[in-house]
Amino acid sequence: MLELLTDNDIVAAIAALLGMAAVFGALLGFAGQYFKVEGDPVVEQIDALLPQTQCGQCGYPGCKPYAEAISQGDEINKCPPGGETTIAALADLLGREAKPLDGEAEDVPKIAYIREDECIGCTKCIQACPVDAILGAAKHMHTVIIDECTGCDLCVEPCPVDCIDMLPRPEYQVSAALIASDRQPGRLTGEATVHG
Amino acid sequence: MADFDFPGGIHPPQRKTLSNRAPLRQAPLPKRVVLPLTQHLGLPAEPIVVPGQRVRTGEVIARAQGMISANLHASITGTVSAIEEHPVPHPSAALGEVRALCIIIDAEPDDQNDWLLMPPLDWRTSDDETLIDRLRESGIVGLGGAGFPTAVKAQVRQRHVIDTLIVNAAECEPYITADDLTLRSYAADVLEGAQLFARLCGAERVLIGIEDNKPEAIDALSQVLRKPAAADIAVELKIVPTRYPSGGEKQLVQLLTGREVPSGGLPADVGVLCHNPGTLLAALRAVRDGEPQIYRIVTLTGEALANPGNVEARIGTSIHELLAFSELQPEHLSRLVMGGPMMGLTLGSGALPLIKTSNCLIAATAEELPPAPPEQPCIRCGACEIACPASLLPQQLYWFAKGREHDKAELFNLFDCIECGACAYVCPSHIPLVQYYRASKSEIRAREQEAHKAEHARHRFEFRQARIAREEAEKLAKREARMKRTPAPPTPSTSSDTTTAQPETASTSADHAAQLRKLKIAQAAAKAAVKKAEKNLARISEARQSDKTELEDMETQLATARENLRATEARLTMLQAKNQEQDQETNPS
Repeated sequence: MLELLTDNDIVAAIAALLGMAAVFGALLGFAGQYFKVEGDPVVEQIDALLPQTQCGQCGYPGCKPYAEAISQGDEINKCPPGGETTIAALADLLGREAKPLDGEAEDVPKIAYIREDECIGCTKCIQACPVDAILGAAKHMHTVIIDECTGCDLCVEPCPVDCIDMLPRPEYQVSAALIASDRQPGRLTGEATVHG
Repeated sequence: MADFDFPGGIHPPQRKTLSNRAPLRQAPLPKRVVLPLTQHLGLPAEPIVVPGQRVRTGEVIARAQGMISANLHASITGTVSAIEEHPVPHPSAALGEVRALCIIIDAEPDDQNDWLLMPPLDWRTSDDETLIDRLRESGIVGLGGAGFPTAVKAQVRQRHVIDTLIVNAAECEPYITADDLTLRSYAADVLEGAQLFARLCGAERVLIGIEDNKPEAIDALSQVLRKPAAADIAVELKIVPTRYPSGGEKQLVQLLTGREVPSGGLPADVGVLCHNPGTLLAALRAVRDGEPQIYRIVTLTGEALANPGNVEARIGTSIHELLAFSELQPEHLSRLVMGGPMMGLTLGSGALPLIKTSNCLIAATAEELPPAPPEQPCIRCGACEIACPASLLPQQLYWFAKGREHDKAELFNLFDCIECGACAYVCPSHIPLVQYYRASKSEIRAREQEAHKAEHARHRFEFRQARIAREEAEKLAKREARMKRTPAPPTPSTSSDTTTAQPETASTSADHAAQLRKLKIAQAAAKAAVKKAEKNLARISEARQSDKTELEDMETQLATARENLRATEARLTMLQAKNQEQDQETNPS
């Protein structure tokens, strides 16, 4: 056996290659089993780029399902709350072409306010809220925890008395700082705030 | 004279002689003071008085809340007339009035010397704990500009080893002479305050950094130093050449010790602590005399004032009153600035109160601080790079800020910019560079906040999903249990809408076994997730520095993990019960 190998170069080479193939194949197979990743890491990355409003405007019941759909090949331009920035970030991550937004982008981030004296306490908006940001009980007034509201709009539709308003988020009315060496207000001040 | 140097810097006209010739004066007691609840970094103080209540000078009227915050004291004796929103000096005040919650006190006409003092302490014999408590109680904040609560800074020993205390008396901005006059009038007290702080932070030496344009203050300091007083810790007077911004904290550290503060770090990271002379004076008075921080030395200057100079004024005095005391000529006034001309704030009106961090008021004429010439395109001359004291590339940052490539600007260390304005000062194209950087910084911060919020919403959404899944599973388990108790055989209509109850076939027991195994694995995973979340939460709550939202997110994650565990447990018990039932059905036969 050994003699055959030393005498015959071709056989020796094939045997060595086959041996290595077997060893590495086993190693890879083991690694594939042992270090198996549960879930799709790309979905996590896509999910991190989405704005997490959980509004369902993309046609999926939340941001995570949309992230899964994108990883399956769905379009990346279905997220109006994220707007152009999210599309650009997704295109960058996935190496796809950036497309114009499907739908209308919001100009300012908004959140829901309940006109509290009109609320009849039906709890329908509470069930609709994806982030548990509405507080209340049956036949009692409901209110929105404004810090937790993502502005997804989902509570507006189920309300039977139409007492929910979407209004601009308060902190977005604060504008950029100016110091003494700055020019007088005007040109640049808007720029810092329109975005975001 | 200094041993080391920092890069860049500029030499703007000093204009300090306007205000440093007159001796320190006392401003008349105001008839009414407006005390904003936020005069420091951190959370606003919480009012503990009600309108109509009589307060004495020095009485605590609002308590610090949270780790980084400061107490607020009544600066005159009188009656609290209101706690309401009032315009306050704020970086964005020039864009419109910024209002914040303030406590307003109307003075009593007669009895103005009704002080409420704390018992005097001897700092040499008191222990650190007592001294830090006293500083916290007195509401002392850094008077240099940022208003960082001094008591928090005094606890620096918990995290860092400090070997040098620097008294930052450089006062490099034009016009301002408040520290100069503080040192001339109270040199001995400032040095004693420095000793006190050196002891608190464990420093081995005290360095006083002062620019050579303040000979009187230097004289006063060296006279005190020459006395063979009980100076326990070596004090060294370092005279540095006049150059803006040598009074920047990081620049002064580099200038005096040769150590460079790392990017994004604090002077404490290189074993140095900086204090403003005014802060040291206030701290010493709080300890030695029991006086809380209710007044400060402020420079009133500018060519629109007939009688400029430095005054000791009560916090909360209206700026109008102070300017009137310095004989403001309203017809000459074109611009009102709080702080220095480089880094101060342009004020919209004089109806604002003096706050703890306001060191200077400039009432400038139009010739003095003319409006900036129009912005021209950048010619890439590189003058800004030579001037930058932080060794950044201002024109590169400018391109990124203008092109909204904020992540690139961050890569070029935008956040190491101290916004000193040296680059804009030397720019031949008159580009308001700092303005661009500030806009870029605020946009990056807004984005970060947005990302945090999204993360938070995601955790809450996941929690909700987990909760719904758990409720569903429990409901199902209950229903199964109910059906088992009732002797009637399950009708196909009730079991068809549930996922786990499938029509009984020969293969179900194998299916159940597989499902059982799967659920057991899921339960183990859920248990591990709960343990991990608990551990994370414990770690985060131990590190006291972490902010509230992070803690909340961790709690939500833990709750989500628990919900998941309960859901899998409910499913598991249901399945096990079912299996038992099946076994009973099959075995007896």
